[in-house]
Amino acid sequence: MTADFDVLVIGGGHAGVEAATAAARLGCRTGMVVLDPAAIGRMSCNPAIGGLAKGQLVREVDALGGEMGLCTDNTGIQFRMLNTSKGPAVRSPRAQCDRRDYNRVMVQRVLGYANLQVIAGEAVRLLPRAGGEAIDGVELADGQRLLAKAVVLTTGTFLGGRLFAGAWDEPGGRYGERPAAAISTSLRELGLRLGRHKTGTPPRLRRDSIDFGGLEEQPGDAAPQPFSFRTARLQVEQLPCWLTRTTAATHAVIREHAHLSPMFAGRIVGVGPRYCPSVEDKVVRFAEQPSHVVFLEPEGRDSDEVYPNGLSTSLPEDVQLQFLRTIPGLERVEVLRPGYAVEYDYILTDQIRGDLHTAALRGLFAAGQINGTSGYEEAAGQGLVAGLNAARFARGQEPVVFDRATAYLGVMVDDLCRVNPSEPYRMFTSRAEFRLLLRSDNADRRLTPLGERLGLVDPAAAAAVRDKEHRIRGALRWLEQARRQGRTLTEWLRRPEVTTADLLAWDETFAGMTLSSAELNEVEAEVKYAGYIDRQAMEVERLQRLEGKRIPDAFDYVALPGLSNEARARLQQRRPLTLGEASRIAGVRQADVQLLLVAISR
Amino acid sequence: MRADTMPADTIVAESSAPGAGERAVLRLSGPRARDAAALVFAPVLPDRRAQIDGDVEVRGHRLPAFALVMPGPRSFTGEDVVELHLPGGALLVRCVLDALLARGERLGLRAALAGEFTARAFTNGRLDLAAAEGILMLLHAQGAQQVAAAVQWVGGGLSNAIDALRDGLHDVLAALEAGLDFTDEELPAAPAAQFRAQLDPIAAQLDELLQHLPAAAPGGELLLVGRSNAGKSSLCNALLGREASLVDCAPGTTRDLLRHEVGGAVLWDAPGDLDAPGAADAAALALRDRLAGRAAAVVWVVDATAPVPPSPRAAGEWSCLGVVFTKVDLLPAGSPPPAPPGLAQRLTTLPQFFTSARTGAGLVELRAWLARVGSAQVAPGAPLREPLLAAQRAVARALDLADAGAELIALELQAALRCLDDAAGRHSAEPLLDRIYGRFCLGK
Repeated sequence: MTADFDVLVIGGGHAGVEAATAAARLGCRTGMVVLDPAAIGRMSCNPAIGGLAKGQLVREVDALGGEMGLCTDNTGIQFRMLNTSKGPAVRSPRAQCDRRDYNRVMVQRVLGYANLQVIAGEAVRLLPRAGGEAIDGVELADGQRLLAKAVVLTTGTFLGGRLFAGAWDEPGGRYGERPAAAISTSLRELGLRLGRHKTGTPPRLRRDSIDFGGLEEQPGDAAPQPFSFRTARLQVEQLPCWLTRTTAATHAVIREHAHLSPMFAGRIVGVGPRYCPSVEDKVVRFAEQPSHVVFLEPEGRDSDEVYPNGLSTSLPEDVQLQFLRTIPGLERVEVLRPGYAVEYDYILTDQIRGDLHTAALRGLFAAGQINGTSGYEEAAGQGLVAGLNAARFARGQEPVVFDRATAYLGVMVDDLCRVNPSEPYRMFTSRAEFRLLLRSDNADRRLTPLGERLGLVDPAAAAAVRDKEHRIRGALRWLEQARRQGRTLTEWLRRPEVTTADLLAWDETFAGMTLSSAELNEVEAEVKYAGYIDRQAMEVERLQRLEGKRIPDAFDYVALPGLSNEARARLQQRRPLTLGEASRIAGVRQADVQLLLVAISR
Repeated sequence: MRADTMPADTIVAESSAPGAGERAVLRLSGPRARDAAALVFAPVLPDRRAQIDGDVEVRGHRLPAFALVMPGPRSFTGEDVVELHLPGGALLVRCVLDALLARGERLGLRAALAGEFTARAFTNGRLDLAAAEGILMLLHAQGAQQVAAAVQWVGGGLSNAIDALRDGLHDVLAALEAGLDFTDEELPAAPAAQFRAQLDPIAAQLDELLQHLPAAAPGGELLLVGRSNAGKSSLCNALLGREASLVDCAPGTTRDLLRHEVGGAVLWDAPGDLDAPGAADAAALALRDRLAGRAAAVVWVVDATAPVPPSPRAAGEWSCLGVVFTKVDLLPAGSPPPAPPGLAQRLTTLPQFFTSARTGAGLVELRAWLARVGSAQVAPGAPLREPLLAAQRAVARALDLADAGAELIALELQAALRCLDDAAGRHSAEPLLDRIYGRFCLGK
């Protein structure tokens, strides 16, 4: 049997795009099966990319040659760097995109990609090889069979999707689009256990019906910074967003009709995300809070649609209109399309591995919402990891697993493998124990050299990162030498109140280096975090040392003097494979781990 | 070599005070506890928590008794437990116990080792680590204040204190992390003063906790273990050159742990290992077992004139450093002490000392050796003290950083929490995000 494709990607959302383009960049014959080619890269919810921690993910995808950052730079209508008042490790880029433009540019990009073929159709069945251990390909609804060495599932909310608003519900993956129902059955037949998640989206408002007059305007950054490390300069005319708030009247309407929400009526069984609660959830659960903020975000440059961020709801359509009109600026608002909740299947993630390979079938990979996550950025990140590893699988190469100290990609995949997400998984900086090392501005320094070795990144981009590294090192060396009032500039910058902007004003040589904003952030991070970065690096090294230390199967804990009795009993019982695993066993203390370390090294 | 095959066995011991009383209790624990009880008790016991009246068979006679059935994991040891409550009388209890042990061999029933019920409770997570730590502290307590603190902590107070600290730190951390992971529009940043106000009392609590921990012992600790009447107390007294321990030729004279200092090392004289422990001894034996775990260095004492095999724990689970033969003056002149039957292979390779408390033979060598190995041992209390001190340092650094970035403060608080987890011997149960969502209405 000869395969039609090396890698076949099912789905063309944010995960599907990165998976297919990554495999294609690696030179694999890649196919992408989508229900509708015009929907590739479509944004189901908010037309925004990035945000806290998510911005880091997009930068990591970009550092590995991915598409999301470039498309955002090309179609953005407002760019903001978030958390600028906080440290460089927790700053993240966010951009508001033109929804139609983003979709259009992504479709063009994917259709024009070398090695990548788009197939319109619905995948209805996975084809296991005789014997059932590996995958052979997929069958489409029209009976056509596509054979592939590796298959990546990126079905998003379409997997067994069902839409809800008030008493209304119907099968669907997105408003007006049908779901992928058959694949769920196929996955179950292969023995994969599925869970059910829920997410929601707010109604869309007609721009002309909103009175922006009294609302607080939120402009983009004066010096907008690009998402992609490959975008040299961002030239964009930015549009503002507006802030308004819910009122007592809003809450009264919602409370009065809360029982009509399918969430409260018990008709939705899926678990929704707490970080993206529906407005009825916020009002009911936090009854003491008098008001909630609402961001009015334009959906595009020429679009008449406005996205009211913070008003996700599945209340009946008439109730949606009723509560909307109690909000300042929305007194005469018209609704273009109601909000709704969507419930969908996902694979319980103890069945996937660190390379996003599923346990059910060799060669079957999964990425995005199908793995219990939420968000375009989380989906894109997994898409890249799955596409990379599917390509490597197809070629008989070893998998690439990112670790928690190198990338948010590693944190995310490792988290997923460890526990089934009880709610749709979203990235937070607090999930990363090595947060200070994982900055949005150093994603390229962390990952592009690896991307070049793997073949994901073109040599020009890799050379640019080497150049950037060189400039940062040069600047850091200069700050060590240059003095002001008897102190080195490094010592000055270490003070909490001093920023690189001060140094630029004080020192002509430093200003003359014309570092980019991202490079300046990196200089600041390296100086301000110096001691902590060393500490985290040591901790990383310690962890890696522990994870790498294999405990012999026949290790005799009894004969090891100095171990506490409870540690000894628990170690005997659990028989951990590595010291890292041993260190996570309750009752085993640092002192015990140290003893073991010595004993094993002996 | 694995000497302790504990979890598979079913064990039995008298758990009431020995001697004549109104009634006596035989406690069985392990997977076959009900089957074993059925060997002497009728009717058949149910597999649910119950009190069953019936009778027990003693040498062909049936006597009224009752049985308490406590299925695991909700029992003291976490295993299936059956208690047989019998009419009192040492001889009667002994007879029933003998009958049980004789008939129960095929069920894997054996006599419980001293402290073994406690050990199983630990292993199965039924007994709090820090509570046990409190018991140890009681032994070390130097003043009335420390005694009071220790007594309180025995009841789980120490773990409560650590839990309270962790809880407080988690709250502070949750507020900081929420400020980092959500924008100012979603959650206005908390001022530095508020953070200080939250963290200061936690730092104070931590200081107080450390003040109440007894200072670590100067040297390491060595525990003398061995069969009852092996001559441990005589040996101690001879080493110290004074009558510190009450010595008697009757077995089981030493009912408490006695602490002596020998040339920088701390020597504990522990109760003997032979008899089914009575309730009065159980506490001392439980303490001894804790100490054996903490002190980590055990010296096995054997009566040279009546060598017996070591208990499985002394041979295996405990870290035996050496073997001391006592009463060598009673051996026929010139004859080496006979090797104890069944001496575990590992023990034969350890340093051996042949001593006599009466003639002073071998004491000089033993004393020098004890001082040397004692100083190399880990002091008890250190496992708790070190992580608590590290937590204290991390909290102090966090307070110093109050005006710097929240991401740096968070790093120190995470470090402090890891130290407290280490001190408590377990990891925090509640994920940070749960705490954040429990407190703030967040998200768009």
